[in-house]
Amino acid sequence: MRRVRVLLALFLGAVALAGCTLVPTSSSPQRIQKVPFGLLGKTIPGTHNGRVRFITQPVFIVDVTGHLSPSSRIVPSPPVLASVLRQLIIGPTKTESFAGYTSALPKTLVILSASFRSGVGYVDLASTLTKLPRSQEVLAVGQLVLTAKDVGVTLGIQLKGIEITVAGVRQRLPLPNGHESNFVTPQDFQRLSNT
Amino acid sequence: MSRILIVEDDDHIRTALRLMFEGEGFIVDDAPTGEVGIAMFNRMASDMAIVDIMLPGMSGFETCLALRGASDLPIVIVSARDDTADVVLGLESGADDYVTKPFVPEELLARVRAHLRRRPEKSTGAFQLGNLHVIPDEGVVREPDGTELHLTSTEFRLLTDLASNNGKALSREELLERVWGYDYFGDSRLVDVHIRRLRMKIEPDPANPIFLVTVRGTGYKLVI
Amino acid sequence: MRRRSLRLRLLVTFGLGAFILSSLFASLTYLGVKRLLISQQQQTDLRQSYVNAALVRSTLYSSPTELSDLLNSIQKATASNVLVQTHNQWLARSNRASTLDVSSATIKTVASGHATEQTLNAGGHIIFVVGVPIPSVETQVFEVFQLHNLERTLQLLAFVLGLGALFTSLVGMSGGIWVTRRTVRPLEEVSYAAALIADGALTTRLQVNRADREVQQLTESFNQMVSQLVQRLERDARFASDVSHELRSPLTTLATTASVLQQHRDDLSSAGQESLDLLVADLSIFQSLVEDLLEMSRSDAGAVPLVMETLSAIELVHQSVRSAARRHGIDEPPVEIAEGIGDPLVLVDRRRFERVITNLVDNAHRYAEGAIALRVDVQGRQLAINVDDAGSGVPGDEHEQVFERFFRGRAAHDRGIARGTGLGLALVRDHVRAFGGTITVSESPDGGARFQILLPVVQSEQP
Repeated sequence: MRRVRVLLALFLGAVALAGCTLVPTSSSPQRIQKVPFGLLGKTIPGTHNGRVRFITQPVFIVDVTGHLSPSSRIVPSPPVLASVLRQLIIGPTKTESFAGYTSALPKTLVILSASFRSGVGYVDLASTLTKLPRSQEVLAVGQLVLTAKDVGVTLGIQLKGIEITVAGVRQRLPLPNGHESNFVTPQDFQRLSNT
Repeated sequence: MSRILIVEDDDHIRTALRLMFEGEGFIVDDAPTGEVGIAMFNRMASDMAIVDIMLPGMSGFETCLALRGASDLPIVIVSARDDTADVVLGLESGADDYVTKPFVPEELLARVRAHLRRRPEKSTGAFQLGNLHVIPDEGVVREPDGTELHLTSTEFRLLTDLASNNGKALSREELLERVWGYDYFGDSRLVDVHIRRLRMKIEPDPANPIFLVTVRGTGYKLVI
Repeated sequence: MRRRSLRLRLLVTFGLGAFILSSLFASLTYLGVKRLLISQQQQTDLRQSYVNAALVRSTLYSSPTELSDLLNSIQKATASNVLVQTHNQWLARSNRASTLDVSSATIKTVASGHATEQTLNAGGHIIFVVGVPIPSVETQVFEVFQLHNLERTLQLLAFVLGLGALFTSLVGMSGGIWVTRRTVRPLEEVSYAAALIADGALTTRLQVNRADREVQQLTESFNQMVSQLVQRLERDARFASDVSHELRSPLTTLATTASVLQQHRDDLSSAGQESLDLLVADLSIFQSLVEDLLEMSRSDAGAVPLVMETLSAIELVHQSVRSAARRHGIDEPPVEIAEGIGDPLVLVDRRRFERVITNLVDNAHRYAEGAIALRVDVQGRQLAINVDDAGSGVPGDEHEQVFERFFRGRAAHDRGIARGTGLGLALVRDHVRAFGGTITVSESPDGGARFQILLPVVQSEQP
């Protein structure tokens, strides 16, 4: 009889070992000692660059209703106006395009330079926007000014407005209310946005 | 005075038997072997014989046959065994009765007396049994061609007793009493063996008897 | 001490043994395989995490805008979710990723510069979360792997192994049954044969030619033992028979000479006469004893085979009673046949049957004031012959013993004068058994003893 009991105990032990839950879980994360690819290294392999920071920066594209809508882009920190604007030119992502987002700015547009000076953004384009239909031109300008405004916010600059030149020549810019101006402010285009 | 022949090889038993029978008034001739016994019988013409089965030289059965061949005298065989086979063989050899050793001497005496007592023959007329002619007065059974069938007196008595009963069955006890004269010591085997011997002699097919018929629950009867 | 069944023990051992062993095997296999599978999965997942982290790093460095696409393509390719955080803010994540999957503890540890891994249960699903910090781009990459495939695999494995264990147990048990039958059945056969032999069927032997050597040995030894025992029994019986046989001649002489002396009784003195009386009395007892012994030893040795005939029971009973009465010089007890039983037939040896009735009637006469009646009846398929006597009956505790050889019960001791051999009833029982019947003693309706013989009826004829 005793023999049977011993065997029975062994058997039950085996079953218990097998465990009721199939995969064992742990209550807290375990640290891994060795990580390959020099992922934990201070610099990016092959470069001397280290501690590169990235942030998300909104660029304004056009939603299905024709309003200006912000969309995040990952950019190195601190954001450079020209880089961000160039991201803007690239337009909506594939996913965004499927969702109906568009950009009024032509993808072929080249930004020669863009910078802030005393709260004003100076954008120099390689080609003109006047060739666009009026409504599209308005949206395009709106995209530029609102995107620049948010860049200013990230940099801690209060944007008063932007001036657009084409190869140095000042442009007359259309406003949503139908007027024109050499100098456009974010407030002018606020009602075109959906924020 | 009846003369009795005793054939027994055991001296003591033979002597004791002689003393007993002489004490009862018999004349006793005693013989230790079969040969001597037969010689004595031829000289003395005994009225009755008692023969032991186990004899040296000539066996009890042979002695019986020889005696029976010479005479009609009643023969009682004495056997040490009670085997039915022995008994049947003894009776087939011509004996009329048997006892087994050790026997009660008084019984033997009574049996001997019974055998010697001549029973009055029932007067029966001659009758036909199939194609056999039975004449009780002469004690003869004749075949159609005139030859006589040889039956012992016991067998003949058995046949005539049954015949005189008018086709009614007789029990074994009754037959024992009428033919052998026993009230006390009868063994129904005697009857059975004699019936069988009779059947062998007179029945056309002994295995399926038509004259000497067994009546279940009673005994035997003779169908004429 | 409670005896356990060998059969049961073997079966349990086999069944339980098979079950336990197979379960053990299944469990151990399962454990081993599980461990292997899990560690393999973890290795693969970790490696994937590192590769993905490196990809994230290079994408961020070269074209950060493509980060989302990268994460989505990873998800599409490997079904794992990747999340990227920088400075405590979620930078990007694949479409189906949920930030809830990444615990704060993981975030904290990874943010502090350590890579982590954790298997946890998130809302019913098991997930494997890997966190890798990439200090060069100041981000933390988290990859969430779904383990339900692994889970399913393990479940299937457990099921299959469990089934296998069960199947093995069943096979083990049937193996046990087979083995048990092979080993235990010969034992049962031996004990059955032994019981038969003890009961008297001395020709019983075990069947020879068995497959197993040990069983064959047992069979042969057993048969040999029985044959030798039977031989010895027969020798003993023959000895008794031979001895009794030798006594015949001297007894004959004794009886005859005693008769002669009786003839010359008057020649003896009174002392001589008294002695002669005693001699004659004891001589007759001696004679009965020898006769009984002879008969007994003959039937023991099987020396004289029975001549069995189918006879009318009623006729036989009548004849036997008549013969018994005449032989012992007593009054014939009446024979009462029950109504409507017809003419039942029995298969017996005539002489021995007569002996049986004679002995019973004589017994009643000697010890119980004589037999009141012999009552014949039919009970079902058996013929009952009841010999009822006028005595005071047989005491309850002697009902079995009274049939044993040389047993002298209280009744015999009470009657000092009448002496028997003690073999009469034993002979009766032996003969009755030889006919396939039984004999028992009980109380008769008249108050005395009733000896009842039951014999199988061969065939019944209605009157």
